[in-house]
Amino acid sequence: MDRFEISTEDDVVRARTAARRLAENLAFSLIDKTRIATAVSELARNTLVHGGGGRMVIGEAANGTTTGIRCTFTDAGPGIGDIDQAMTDGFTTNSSLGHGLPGAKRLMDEFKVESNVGQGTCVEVIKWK
Amino acid sequence: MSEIPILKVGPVLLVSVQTELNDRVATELQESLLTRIKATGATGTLIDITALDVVDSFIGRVLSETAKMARIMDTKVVLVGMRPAVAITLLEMGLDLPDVEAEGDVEAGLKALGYALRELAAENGEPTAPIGPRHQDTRRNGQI
Ligand SMILES: Nc1ncnc2c1ncn2[C@@H]1O[C@H](COP(=O)(O)OP(=O)(O)OP(=O)(O)O)[C@@H](O)[C@H]1O
Ligand SMILES: [Mg+2]
Repeated sequence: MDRFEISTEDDVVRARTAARRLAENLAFSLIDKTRIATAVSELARNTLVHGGGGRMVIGEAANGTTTGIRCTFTDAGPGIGDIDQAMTDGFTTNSSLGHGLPGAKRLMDEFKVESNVGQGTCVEVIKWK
Repeated sequence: MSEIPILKVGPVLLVSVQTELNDRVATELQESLLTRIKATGATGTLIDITALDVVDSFIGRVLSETAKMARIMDTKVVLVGMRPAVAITLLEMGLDLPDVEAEGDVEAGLKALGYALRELAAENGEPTAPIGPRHQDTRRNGQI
């Protein structure tokens, strides 16, 4: 398990580079490495921009004989009031494209959001090999 | 000023992204490119992203905004060298980079702009045959 602070734009780059490297070590396919790094980039940016900073914990996941990568993003920001709405393609609170959360969900195999308004947000994603 | 060099070759600007694009570098590139287009009156711009192994929603938005603003300034932007895995990932994310035209490599990109490498070398002062932009290429170009 590795822990990465996410408090600057360069931390977003570091997070996706670390995810790509772990995917490489676990021998994920080229396209899966790209999916994982891109999803991590989206979620790390959300942690920074919407969550006001936080951290990513990344490590190997196991399910029987299947291995995978698990990334957990946690922040103590404002939280998400309506998760269903936040997961809708095109929904954004800052005039962005609003594809980050639903896009990351499509790129990964498992996706879980927990959020409490005023307390923070935790997003966990897994990609299986 | 952008950390990424912008080369002028005749009427065309060439940008080759070779560094990790954090959000600030991407935004600065957009600003300096638009400034350069205005200053030079370039008719076309090629952005080579062969080195990028990730294009996320932020970088994607910067690229399509740049292309859109450049078009308002009468300059066509063509993105070249997008890796297949990056293109697939963008599609899966539901990002279709509106306003961005893409070609496989620099040569195809120049062709889409209506130029050939040889002609640009000539416009840059090399002693070759007389030239000018080629007839407009009317073939439909790949939209990402
Ligand atoms: N960590 C977070 N803390 C608080 N709100 C969040 C967090 N992550 C996402 N959100 C909310 O969910 C919305 C949708 O997020 P999503 O990543 O899909 O879009 P975006 O970040 O607004 O735009 P894009 O990612 O396309 O640039 C955000 O606009 C924001 O309101
Ligand atoms: Mg986002």
